[in-house]
Amino acid sequence: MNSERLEELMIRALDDELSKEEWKELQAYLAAHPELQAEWEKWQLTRLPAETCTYPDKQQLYRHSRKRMKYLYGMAAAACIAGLWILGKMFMSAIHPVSNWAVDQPQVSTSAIFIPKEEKQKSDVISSTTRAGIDSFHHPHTYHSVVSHQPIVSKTSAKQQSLSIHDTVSQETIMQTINIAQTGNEADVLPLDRLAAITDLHAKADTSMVINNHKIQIHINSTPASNAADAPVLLLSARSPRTFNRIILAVARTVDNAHKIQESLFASDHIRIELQQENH
Amino acid sequence: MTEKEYNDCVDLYADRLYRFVVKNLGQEETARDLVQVSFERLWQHRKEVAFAKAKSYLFTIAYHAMIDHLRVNRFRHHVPLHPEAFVQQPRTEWEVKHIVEKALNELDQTQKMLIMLKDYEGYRYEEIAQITGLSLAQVKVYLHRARKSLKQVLEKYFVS
Repeated sequence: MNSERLEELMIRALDDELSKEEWKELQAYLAAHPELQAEWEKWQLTRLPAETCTYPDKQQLYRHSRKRMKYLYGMAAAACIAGLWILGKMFMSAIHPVSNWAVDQPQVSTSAIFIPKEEKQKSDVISSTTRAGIDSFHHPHTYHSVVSHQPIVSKTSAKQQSLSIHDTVSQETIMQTINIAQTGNEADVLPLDRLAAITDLHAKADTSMVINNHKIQIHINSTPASNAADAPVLLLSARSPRTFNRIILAVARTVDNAHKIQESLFASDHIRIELQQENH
Repeated sequence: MTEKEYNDCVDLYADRLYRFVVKNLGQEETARDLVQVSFERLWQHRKEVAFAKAKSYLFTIAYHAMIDHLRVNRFRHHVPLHPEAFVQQPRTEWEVKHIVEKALNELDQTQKMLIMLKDYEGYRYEEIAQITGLSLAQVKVYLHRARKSLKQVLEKYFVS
């Protein structure tokens, strides 16, 4: 074997490109010529030593198709909806604790949210209290909630201001309220946010509107009052629990604007908005 | 190739492709970019590329991307190897690797790439020819010359 052939075999051996016959030929030749072992070892040094590298950011390379992303987004949306439903349930049970009533008692629930007027500008804190009981003024077999907007009553200054206002409800305002409460317009059944735009509403003592041919009953009651409990009342009633729940949620949504409603509608220190669901 | 197969390719070949590029260019940031470009191309053409051919496809893309990069940056700073800098024969594995790497940088770019495809990735001559676009004979000649050059450089350090 000449030197060129030997060199070619050695290099191809390093490249792992020898046939079995060629391997045998090379091994036999090296065995027969031990002085070439050193030369063979030098050639072996030209094989690159094993080395590992790690790509630093594989996450950047991974891909996910739209289908999978849609599935993930769908899962996330479902989780959000489930979470909202649970929160809604908790919220409803907090402001409308029907299940707490004894079976043999008339089913009446009342919750009240007190919105500070003067200090509303200083703080967004809403203090709330819940009370339960039978109100003889209302039908004994009703659910009703009361959202009462009153002057600030802090824990340290418990004395409430009294009412001394006589209001009237104009026919125009009543018609606007009726229009808002039309069947098919149930999503906006509680017109608190719209009422903010009504400037001529003045509550009149014992004013009551009943829309018998619709699911919604609206009563606007007001009485001269000497204390917070007898504050002018905007009473909204709903015959179906679903509508009643919508009303409560609408109150919750608009409760932040309640002080504005109070200022624009009643020019009074006190507004009590009652939501009533009648049992039929 | 399915999406899952593509992501499997990332697991299987990203590190190897990165090694191939970073060892050739010696620039980590550029190597990352070129690897990303290669996988981007694979993703775009995943419907035409079979999973079994994905590795060759990636190395082909990376190889040509490196060639383009080197053409643009041809005046690369080159540090020649000075054997006299080593007062004694290298002993540790790190020293051996360091010297081999330096010797590798003495090769021309094509020889360097080919020897890496051969030794790191174990490609056959025919496969290297496909990846690089060279003829089979050219691949053999380049690799032969590369080994001879490496041997000449390394002989200066590894005196038996």
